Amino acid sequence: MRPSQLLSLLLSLLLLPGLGGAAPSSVEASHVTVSLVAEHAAVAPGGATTLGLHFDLEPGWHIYWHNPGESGEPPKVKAWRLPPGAEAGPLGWPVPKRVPMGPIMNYGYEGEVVLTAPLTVGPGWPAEATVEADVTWLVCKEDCIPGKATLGLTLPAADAPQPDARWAPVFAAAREATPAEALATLARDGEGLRVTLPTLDAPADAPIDFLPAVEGVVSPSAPVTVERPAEGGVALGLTLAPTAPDTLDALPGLVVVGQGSDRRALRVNAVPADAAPVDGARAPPPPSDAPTSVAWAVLLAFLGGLILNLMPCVFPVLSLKILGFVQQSGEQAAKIRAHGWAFAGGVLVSFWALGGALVALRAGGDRLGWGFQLQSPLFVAVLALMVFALGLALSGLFEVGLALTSVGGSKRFEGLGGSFATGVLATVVATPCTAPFMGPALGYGLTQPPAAAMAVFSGLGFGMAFPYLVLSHAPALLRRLPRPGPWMETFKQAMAFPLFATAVWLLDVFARQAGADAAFRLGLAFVGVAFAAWLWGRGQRTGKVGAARGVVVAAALGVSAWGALTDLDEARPATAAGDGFWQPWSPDAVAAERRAGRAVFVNFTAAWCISCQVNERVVFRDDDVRAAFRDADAVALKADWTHRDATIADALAEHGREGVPLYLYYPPDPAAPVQVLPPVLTPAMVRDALAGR
Amino acid sequence: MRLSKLLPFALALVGTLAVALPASAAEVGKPAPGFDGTDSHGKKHTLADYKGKWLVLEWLNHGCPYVRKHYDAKNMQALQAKWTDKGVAWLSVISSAEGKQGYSTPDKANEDVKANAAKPTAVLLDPKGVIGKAYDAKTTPHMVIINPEGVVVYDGAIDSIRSADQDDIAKATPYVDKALEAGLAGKAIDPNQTTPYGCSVKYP
Repeated sequence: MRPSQLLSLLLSLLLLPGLGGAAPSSVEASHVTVSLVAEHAAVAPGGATTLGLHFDLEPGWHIYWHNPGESGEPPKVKAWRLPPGAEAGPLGWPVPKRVPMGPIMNYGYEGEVVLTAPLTVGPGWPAEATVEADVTWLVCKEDCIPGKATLGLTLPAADAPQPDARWAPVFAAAREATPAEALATLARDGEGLRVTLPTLDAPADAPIDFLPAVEGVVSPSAPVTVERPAEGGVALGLTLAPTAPDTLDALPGLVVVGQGSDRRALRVNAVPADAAPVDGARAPPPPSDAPTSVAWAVLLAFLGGLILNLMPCVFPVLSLKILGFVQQSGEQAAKIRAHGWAFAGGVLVSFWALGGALVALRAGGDRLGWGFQLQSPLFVAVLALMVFALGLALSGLFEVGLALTSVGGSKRFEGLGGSFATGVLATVVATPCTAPFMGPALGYGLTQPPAAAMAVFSGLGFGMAFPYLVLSHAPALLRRLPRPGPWMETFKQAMAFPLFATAVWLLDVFARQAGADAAFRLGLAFVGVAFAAWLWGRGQRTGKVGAARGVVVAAALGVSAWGALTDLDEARPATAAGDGFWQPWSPDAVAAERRAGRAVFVNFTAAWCISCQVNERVVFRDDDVRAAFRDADAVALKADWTHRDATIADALAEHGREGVPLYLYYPPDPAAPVQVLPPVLTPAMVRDALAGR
Repeated sequence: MRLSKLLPFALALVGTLAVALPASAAEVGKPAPGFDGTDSHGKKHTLADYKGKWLVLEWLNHGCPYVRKHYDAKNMQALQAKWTDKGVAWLSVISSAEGKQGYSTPDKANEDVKANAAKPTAVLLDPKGVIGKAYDAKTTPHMVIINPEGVVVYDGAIDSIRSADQDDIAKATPYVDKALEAGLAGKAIDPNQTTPYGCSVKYP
């Protein structure tokens, strides 16, 4: 410190109020001169003016914004001393800049800056009034020096306010530079946040930055990614700070566009899209992420698709495909390949259709996740009837996909439609089963732009179809399958029973969604479909497939569909009575139990999720598992997603999932991290988790 | 290329990606990043040495006004004495680079311990900032508490009032003291993550 600075610092400390003499309006402290200034040289009683703290910094030195970033401390007015009836408002902060210190990022000011404070001048303002402020600040270059001073200013009363020639233009400029407000939406994006400004029109080459107005939510040192979606606007990708809260209702901050003299700032308070004002409620254009992440998600989806083949809900339908291959094993390689691709096409088109619908609905603001289609009783009912009809066909009541069973047909590519349809059916039935790798990939994919999301769905479909593509391209493998023969008819008929079981399960799901009356009507529709199948099958066997028979069959199907599918009330509450073991889940319940120091196990499930139901029966009804829950004094919470539920969808999204099942274990130590258990559970896994192993 | 020929390639790709796991960083609830440091007496310290013990890491720079606040008020020394007496290990880490504020030679570090009557278990000299960066230390002081299982249970500020003013110490919630009290009593640590305040760590 230079002697002159030391002297002025000592002087400023000596010149405290009450020690004779007013406080100085300006102190020359270490590396900064701090002054208390006002827009007016004289004020009118009953009026208003603006006070300012003027910091004049030595080159290289800086002070901090109200959010200082990762180190530092903002200037503060510890106390105002004002004439009676007067009141000073909170400090106003000009737009700061980034001030990096090695790897540490701060927000602050260099050069000259004025922090403003509105002052209401009371009617009793004395003729020779003084205002005083106790001010603290921190000034830093590499090193930091805290400062404090009491600053005073004489503000005489006048009939009319008299602008201060030196400072009035500075305050006017500060008002001029006050950032305008802009609409912004906020979304969680895995470990990050996405702030979208749908209406921001920034030049393509202008740098764009985001400065959070609150501490501890956004990591200041992480780079801000900028995306300019084709629909217009700007989407900013931010990284969450470790101290960020679990849920975020709003993120205030400044969006800074351009640099140098072209720099302008917008004030935003980003809120989730469903809470945004209606006039700004355009679908938030999500930015894409690094292509490696998309590739990773697609690969995970591919693996998930592969594993999907082994899931209990898919196997009956796939048995059809296996039969098809056995059937075809003696045929031309080209034909077999064509069938393989037709099947893959069916799978892919179905995933695209489902994925496209999901992406479109989410863009419309619906908080849906994977499996959403099964949250619709209408979809469940149609699926149940389809599966039942297919079961009837397999058991031989009537014939479909004749090409599948015809050997050595004359047309080379006949029955491709059948292979395609099998692919569609396999996909539709597969949706309840979220394979282990599928949840994260879908969770990621759905936060991405539509093209990336569709890539993830394509990966899933390709993964599911992959074994068949390999088989159809590798005749050597095909020859290892059993030879075709009469056993195939028996096998096909036997495979009807898993399908009937699937139909009954779907009936159960439907009953939970739409109630017993609707389930009864769906049961009658099963009878109607069976009647139609029987009638049609008789016609096929006797060769009498006339128009009259067609009309009767169509009528039977029509009446069944009408009886089962109309008058469905989606909002009907489920009969959620548990067996006393599970308590209903809510984020508050988890928080409360954790505060009480108890371990919490959360079961995210749905009636239509068959892998959830398998876990339910095999694991959670297991006596040893229940004993483990008692031993660990763990609370069992169930989040039932049979119906649409935005809170559950959000919680799934928070763990990067877009569907059920999801099993979470929170150890009794609230500092311990939540454990995510695999989607396919064994009793031992749950017991181990509960025992802290 | 036939799809069947793609299969080995696809499997190899899957295998490669499966082992490409993300790198670690200090995160509450996760195992603490390992470190390998030398103290002011030339003794080696690693995270593994403190398995089975509570461990406090304190980022230190005696030139920083925020560190001075807690040392001049004897607050830091009191915390060090209180908890090392109860068997907690306390490592002060100096991550200031050579030529920057707070940089310490072994002799300087020992003198500072003496002059301040400080009571850490040891002072680690980290002039390359390796330990600091592994723990993502932002400020001096920046405090991290690691439980006997080696898990980070607290990361953040020493107390609740961001200032360089000694008078604020008594008014603040002493986060680190409370965290150790709760942790050693087997109770939940709340808050377990706060925003550290102070001078920036003077990394190279």
